[in-house]
Amino acid sequence: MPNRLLDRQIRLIAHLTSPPAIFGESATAPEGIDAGLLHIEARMSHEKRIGKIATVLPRTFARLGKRRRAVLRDFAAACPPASIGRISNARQFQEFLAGRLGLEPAWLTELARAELAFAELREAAPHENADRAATMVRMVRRSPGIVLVRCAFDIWPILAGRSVTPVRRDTPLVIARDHHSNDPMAAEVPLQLFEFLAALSDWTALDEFAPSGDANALVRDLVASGLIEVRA
Amino acid sequence: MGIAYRRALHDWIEARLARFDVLEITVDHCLSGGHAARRAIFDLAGRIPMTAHGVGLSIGTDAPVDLAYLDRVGTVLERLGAPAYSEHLAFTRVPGRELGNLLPLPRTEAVAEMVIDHVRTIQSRLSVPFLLENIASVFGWPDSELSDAAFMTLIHRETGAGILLDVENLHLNARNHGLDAYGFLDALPIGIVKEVHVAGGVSLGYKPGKRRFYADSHSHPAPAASLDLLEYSLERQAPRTIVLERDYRLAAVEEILEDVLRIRSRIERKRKAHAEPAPRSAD
Repeated sequence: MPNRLLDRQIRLIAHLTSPPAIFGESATAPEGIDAGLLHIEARMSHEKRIGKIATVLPRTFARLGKRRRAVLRDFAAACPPASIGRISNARQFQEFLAGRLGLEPAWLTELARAELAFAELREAAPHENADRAATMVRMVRRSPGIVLVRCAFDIWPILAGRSVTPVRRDTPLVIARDHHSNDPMAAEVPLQLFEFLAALSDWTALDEFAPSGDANALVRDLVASGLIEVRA
Repeated sequence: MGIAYRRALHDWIEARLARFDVLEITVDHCLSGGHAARRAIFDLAGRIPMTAHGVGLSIGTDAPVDLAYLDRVGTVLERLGAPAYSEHLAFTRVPGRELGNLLPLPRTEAVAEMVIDHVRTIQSRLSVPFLLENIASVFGWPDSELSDAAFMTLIHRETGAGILLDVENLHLNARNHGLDAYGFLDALPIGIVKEVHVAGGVSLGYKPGKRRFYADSHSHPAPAASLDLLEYSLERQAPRTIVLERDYRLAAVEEILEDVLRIRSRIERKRKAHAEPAPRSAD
């Protein structure tokens, strides 16, 4: 059917999520509906979506500065909304920033990635690491409750709420829940440890990478800090 | 009489449960909210009556109802012990794209038939009564043939679905589009309204055609005109639940308590007046 309701709804939402409708540059409108009213609807919906994203990525948004309007316009054009969830919209925005060539400052995408990780951890159910008391450890893996973010800039001061310009410095971050408060927190770790954790994305036999006795002490420390989990 | 539960107000609400008769829970917060948010809501279940409201169904999309979503809603309804589940008579998405805002439907008999089919699907899938809420619309479809009240009544007659009457949405449609809000209430069958929403919006400063536009922002005290509509509606309707909605400026908790008192006062006044019709507002 050429004019079934679904087709009309598709045309309408395509219009309402388009930059010309959002930013009031469209003189035409589908379905014979008043273009000015559709601009209001489009703008309200866009601002609602951006408001959700800003609650997840507040520090990223605060540092968009003068680029904000241009970035949000390009985002609206490239990434129409696909869900109502604030995390999923924020993930769309973070991925958009990551794919935007030449974005300045360059550390903005890293900040967005870290903020998104904070939000995802905050929303997720706390992960109970398996078998902490296992005496015959044979398999280990990185705890699913942590997120690894390797940054080319030291964004830690911004995450800590300080208003500084990050310096270029390889900064491997582990974002995990604090044992006591259960709130997500970020910690910079030595690069070797970061790469070790990155390699443990799935269950791995302990003797595959650490046949020596020293590894057991390391494993015990990492289990105690919640960074890896073990099973017999 | 109660309020719509919001996570940011959890501690405040929990400390004042005795002030409310009911909490309205947004089922989508239980489905896709964070772990802590879900746990906070379910911890309140059983301590105060709860009713369930949704924003994620998009009943007006001309596509099959999402049965998996409905089944998840059903699980939440059971955990809440909710006596009813309401959604908006609107659409928010099409396949692959989600606007996140409520859009009106063309008010025609053919579109009503589509909604009726969807309501029947919902009713067959869920064990509690299903209610439809009137929305505040920014625009209308030129091919609408039925009035708002006739459209809702048609769906009600075919399905038995009751109405969640949002008096603020009614008030906004009157201000923005000249809808006869009292005429809408007069046209509804007696007893069709099962729940009521009250809220307060603001002018957003948009001026299409140099007129102000008021938005359903749930951010300010309920205007007297909305409370007048509430009081008038109680003449012919006996809603089981009246809920105050507030989503923004949540720190202004005194405004929320004040609104609860104002609503209770209107209910009480109507109860006392009983047989006497309420005067129409001049607004």
